[in-house]
Amino acid sequence: MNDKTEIFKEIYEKESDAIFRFVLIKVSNRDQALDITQDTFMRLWKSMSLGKDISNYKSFIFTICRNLIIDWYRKKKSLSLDAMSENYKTFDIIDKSSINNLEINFEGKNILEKIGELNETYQTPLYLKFVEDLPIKEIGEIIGISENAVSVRINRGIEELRNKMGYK
Amino acid sequence: MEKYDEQLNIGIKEIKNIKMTDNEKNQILQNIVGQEKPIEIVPKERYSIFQMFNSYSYYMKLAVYFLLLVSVGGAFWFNYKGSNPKVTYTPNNYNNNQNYPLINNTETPIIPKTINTKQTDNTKLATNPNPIGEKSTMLNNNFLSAPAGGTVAVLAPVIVYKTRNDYSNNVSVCYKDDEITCNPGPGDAIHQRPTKLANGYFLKRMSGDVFLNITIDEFINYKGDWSDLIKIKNIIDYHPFTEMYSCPTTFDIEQINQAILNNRLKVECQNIL
Repeated sequence: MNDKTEIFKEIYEKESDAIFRFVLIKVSNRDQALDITQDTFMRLWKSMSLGKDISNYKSFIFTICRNLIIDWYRKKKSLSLDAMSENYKTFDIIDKSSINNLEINFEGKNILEKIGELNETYQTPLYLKFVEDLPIKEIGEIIGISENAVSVRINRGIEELRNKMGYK
Repeated sequence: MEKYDEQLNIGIKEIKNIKMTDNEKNQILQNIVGQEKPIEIVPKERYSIFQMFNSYSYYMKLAVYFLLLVSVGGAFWFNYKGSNPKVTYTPNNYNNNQNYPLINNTETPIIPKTINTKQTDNTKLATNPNPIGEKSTMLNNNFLSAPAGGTVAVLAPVIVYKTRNDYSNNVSVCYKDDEITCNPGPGDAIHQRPTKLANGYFLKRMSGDVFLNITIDEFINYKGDWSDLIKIKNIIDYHPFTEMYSCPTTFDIEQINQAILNNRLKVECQNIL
């Protein structure tokens, strides 16, 4: 077992659940979420095998994961006639139908539902900040926006969430 | 506000409980890391050619070695005696053997010759000692590939033929499967006139497989649509050739005429009819 395998396993153990979670609340299908999770780590493994310089593994895998979700939404949209006929959700929105299928308690579902009701630009930054504890800089790298923009979105998101939860 | 934070924290804690099962986790890890195992290259076991003899008896081995010696030695002897012209003949000795007077094409690279297709009258018996090399005669077998005038590189064999009648002034076309597949135009029909050789033989130029009842002059001077003349009904002979030989490209017309007059065409050229 070489060093790369050990490092990969360590990253996988640490981050796999976070990635799976991130996918599951967006795609509303456990099998699909597992597939995308596997693809995400497969790409990380290949990048490591090729000797690519990865400065921050966490933001790297979240970026890959987000791109894979985008691909999945695009494919789904092109395949599904129903989806084409309606104004389909964008990939940065938490899927409400998936929340009901999650095996978590009421508080968790409630928070996810409320985040899902927020403006779509606030949802992912807020989720990554509070659920995955990612720093502002990494969230910016993942979404592809500046740190300032992330801060603004998070602050506005918190404000909106508080309103949604009835704490004005 | 505190209640809000508390509710948020509980909710986030619950969300963080969303996890894969251990089985799912291990399966994915196995799928990723398991398939990237380095491929072990097992070196092939090598056998010596003589290893097969180990099971043979002493006399058997002796017999095999003797057979090998005879066959290898025989091959050397066979070549040394010059029984195989393609291997042993060289420019220094090939003329000594009257059976193989020609340069072996398999050993001599074919050098394209530059010749001129402009020629006015070559129906007379050609006597130029080296007309091919001196830009006088076009020997291209396929008339469609030869331009009218200018120079062309000739790699095609020298074709010598005889017809049942004199068609030297008739237009010829390619005929295959009941249709005319290629034909000359008025501009290049002049190049269909073959070069006349000794004893009624002709040196093939841009000619086809069958001849029409139209002469080359009639075709060139035809005022109407010349394609009207290229009709199957105008073919006068479907099997015009009685003899046809492919001679080496190194041959000039004098050599061909000598071969004809010495009745050695069949020996020095290849019968292709």
